Amino acid sequence: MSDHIYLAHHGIKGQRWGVRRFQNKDGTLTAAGKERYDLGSSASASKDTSLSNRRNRRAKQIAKGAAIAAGVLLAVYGGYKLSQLRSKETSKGSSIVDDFLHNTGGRTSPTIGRSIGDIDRSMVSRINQSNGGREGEINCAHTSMAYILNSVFGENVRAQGFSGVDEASGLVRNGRSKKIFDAAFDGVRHIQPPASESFERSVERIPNSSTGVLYVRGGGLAHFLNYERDSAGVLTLVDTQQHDARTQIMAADSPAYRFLSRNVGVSEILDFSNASISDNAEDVFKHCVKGD
Amino acid sequence: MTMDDAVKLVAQKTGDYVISAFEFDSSYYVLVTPFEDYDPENDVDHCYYPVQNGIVKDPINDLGLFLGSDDPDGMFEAAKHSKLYFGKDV
Repeated sequence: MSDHIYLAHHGIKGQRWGVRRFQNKDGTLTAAGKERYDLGSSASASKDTSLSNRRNRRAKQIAKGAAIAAGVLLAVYGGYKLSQLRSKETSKGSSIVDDFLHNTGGRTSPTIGRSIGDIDRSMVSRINQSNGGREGEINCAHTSMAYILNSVFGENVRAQGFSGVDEASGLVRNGRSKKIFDAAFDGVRHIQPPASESFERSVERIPNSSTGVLYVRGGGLAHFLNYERDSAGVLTLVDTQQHDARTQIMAADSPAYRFLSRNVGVSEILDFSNASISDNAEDVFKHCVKGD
Repeated sequence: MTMDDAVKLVAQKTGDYVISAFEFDSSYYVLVTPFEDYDPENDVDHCYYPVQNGIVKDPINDLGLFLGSDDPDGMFEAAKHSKLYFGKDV
């Protein structure tokens, strides 16, 4: 194994594979988990965006970066892939867009392949705030990109509303929104299920411990949304364009998930687990995402 | 009000290109795009404008429209039989 790519797993004494400290078997939070994540309270949202919390997260990020630079492996758990984070931190493209992204409101904790209880609900609900006009209703490519930047790359951005300038970057042609992901990222794995395949069969193609984008189509509906598949293979869909919290995060047994599985097919799966930011990304990011 | 009337209203209000429209539960839902060269095979840049009692409501994305309905499957079935307008004068 080269010295540039390595994966290590450190745990805590007594831990068991697939057993989480703050989750039940069905992915819901235990009482301790609810207390830990303080879900659903207004205090949680305000606390999450507070300056002190941002500073704490930023401090953690800096500490993580220092550890990476020193070649020290941090503790990892579940699907957390340090080697991938390391390659992202040091990619050329990442340094080019560094000023833009790092001036967009602080950073979050990047993780690939989250379980539903680990998804930051306040981050999800903040991504699309372009309510009222069509600009915030036809920007699902932007909202999906914002989620990837936040969840996989540890940024803290919101989506811009649709402005019609996706092509103006000179990087997006012949396929419009579908192309902005390849324009902004390298190493995106494309999986294209057969057109006749069922939704459920297609999503089985998504690797465990991965995060990405689903392009779904059917009956005139065409949509980008995000997915998280954790190390145990549990799939969660995340639709940051939606304004209704009940349809922003979809477990496999939710009505929204079942509606999708009945009515649409998966046209393409874009796996960002090994992606890095491309050299040309800044031009795309400038009109797709923004800070708080 | 007919579906054609609803389509004209939305086209005049938004200046967008109408892709298609369908009727469900006494309302019309008009799918529009800002692109003259909209490609249904590749583009996702579209949204629905509900028209209720002759009034154009705020737009909503396609998935949100169906999931926000009391009868998402029934509405989606109606949408599958939309009348196509794209490329036609409205």
